[in-house]
Amino acid sequence: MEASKAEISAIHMAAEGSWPVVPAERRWGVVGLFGVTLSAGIAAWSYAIGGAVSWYLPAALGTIAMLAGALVGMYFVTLAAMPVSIKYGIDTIAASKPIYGSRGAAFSIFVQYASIIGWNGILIILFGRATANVLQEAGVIGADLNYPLSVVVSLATIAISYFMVIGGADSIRNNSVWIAVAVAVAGGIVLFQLIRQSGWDTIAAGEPAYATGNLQLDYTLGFEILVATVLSWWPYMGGIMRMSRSVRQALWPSMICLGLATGVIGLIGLYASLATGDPDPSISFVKVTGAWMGLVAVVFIGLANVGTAIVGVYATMIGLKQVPAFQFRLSWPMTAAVALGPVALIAGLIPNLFMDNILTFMYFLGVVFAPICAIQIVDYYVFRKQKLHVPSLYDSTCNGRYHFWAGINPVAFVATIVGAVFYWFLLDPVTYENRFVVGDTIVFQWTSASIATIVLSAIVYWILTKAFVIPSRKGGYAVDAA
Amino acid sequence: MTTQDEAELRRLLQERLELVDNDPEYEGAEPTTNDHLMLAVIGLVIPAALLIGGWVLYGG
Repeated sequence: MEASKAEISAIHMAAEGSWPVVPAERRWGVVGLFGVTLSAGIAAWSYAIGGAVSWYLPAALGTIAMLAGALVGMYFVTLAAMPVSIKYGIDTIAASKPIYGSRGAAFSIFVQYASIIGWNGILIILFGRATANVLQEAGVIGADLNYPLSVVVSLATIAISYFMVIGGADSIRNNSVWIAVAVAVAGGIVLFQLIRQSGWDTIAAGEPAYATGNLQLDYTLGFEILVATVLSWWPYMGGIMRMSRSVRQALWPSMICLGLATGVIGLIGLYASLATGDPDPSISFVKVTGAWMGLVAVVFIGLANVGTAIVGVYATMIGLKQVPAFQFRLSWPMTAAVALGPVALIAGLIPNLFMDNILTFMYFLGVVFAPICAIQIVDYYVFRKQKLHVPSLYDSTCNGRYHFWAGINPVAFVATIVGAVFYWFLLDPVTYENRFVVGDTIVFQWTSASIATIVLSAIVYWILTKAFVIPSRKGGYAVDAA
Repeated sequence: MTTQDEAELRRLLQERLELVDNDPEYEGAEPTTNDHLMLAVIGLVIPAALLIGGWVLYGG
């Protein structure tokens, strides 16, 4: 069957989206960068992040841990992914080829895919639940219909997202500013009602639902949630930052609009959860606002979440289309189905199980992205001296410098796995246990998990590359750094 | 996606890579020492001060 015009155009966009951007196309100044990063950074998942922090920390310490964690997480993402994208006008997936290899970079595409499925799951299930909760609060439905309705709303949202994506996502991407406004308005409504009804004293006195009894451990857990979740900006960084030509111009938008904004918007989720005693924002928001104001907030959250979800789906589709087999054999609607199918399965079959384990998902982001950032920092600054060979980024044959062994750099994968296992020892993402204990001291409470993982992965990658890869004359290190 | 489309895409990519290779202005600026220092202050020093200050005020 011959591909439709729209499909071909989309495939062209997908392919070209991964190509290097030439200077004439890098036109974003400070204002443009601030606008785009702010609209990306203000997203409704921040409410869920704040809700998760309220499991462990009261308002004052939670506020500090969230702001500090957001800045630290963004520091490592910015250092790893931003300068290379700005220097060469390339996206993050292309920039990962000198690390994982021309074929091994499929791993970057996979982690981008998996993380966006998770974030979209959160957005869509939250919206379904918030809609059902507000209708129940207004007396429109009974408690027995709450769950089925939330699932139906979630699936309907996914269907709408699917048709909007295959119809062309340009207009939605161009309206990203309105998505940010919708999230900020919904948050503003909740915050206004929260302070009006409860007052700061109630929020400040709110008790965390699952505090461990060790305040320092809780403090580090709250900090870690933010570091780990903010690290998941890694797959998005290149696509945004490559439109700028100056690191100095891009530094503030990255740190403030992507990093700090996640923490600041998340504070609304933290305060709402502490005031109501429920860490699920789809419940706490309705408790705070009541039925009618809640309805307004839900409408804004719905608009924002559909928009954010579509941007994520589109980014995933662009990523999937960089896999040669998908680029030429999978139609655009099928690619959309691959991107949204797992979200539909989660929202339709296991929404409660997924949302009950939202913290596990957030910690898993740290498991994966902390080693990736560490390896990229060592590779780009230490070994390659900030020099890449751009044609080799688009050459998957053995002639390309980043072919390593059969297109894969095993050392990068070993360092990633070592980092992931170490993270698991410091903080098990599933059971939340801290296995690395020295005497009576839990190591995690002093080092956090992401930061210690970054340090270890960097060391392992440095040693193995020095010992094996460079002596084997693989990876183009001698030429790149010359 | 036809073979023609694939060939067209490959030709366009090749054109772009040649453009990149031959353009002395292609590479954007590298971060300076000051950029790195500023980034470290915002991303490490300020958060560390916040965490320590927060612990002293509300934790101990």
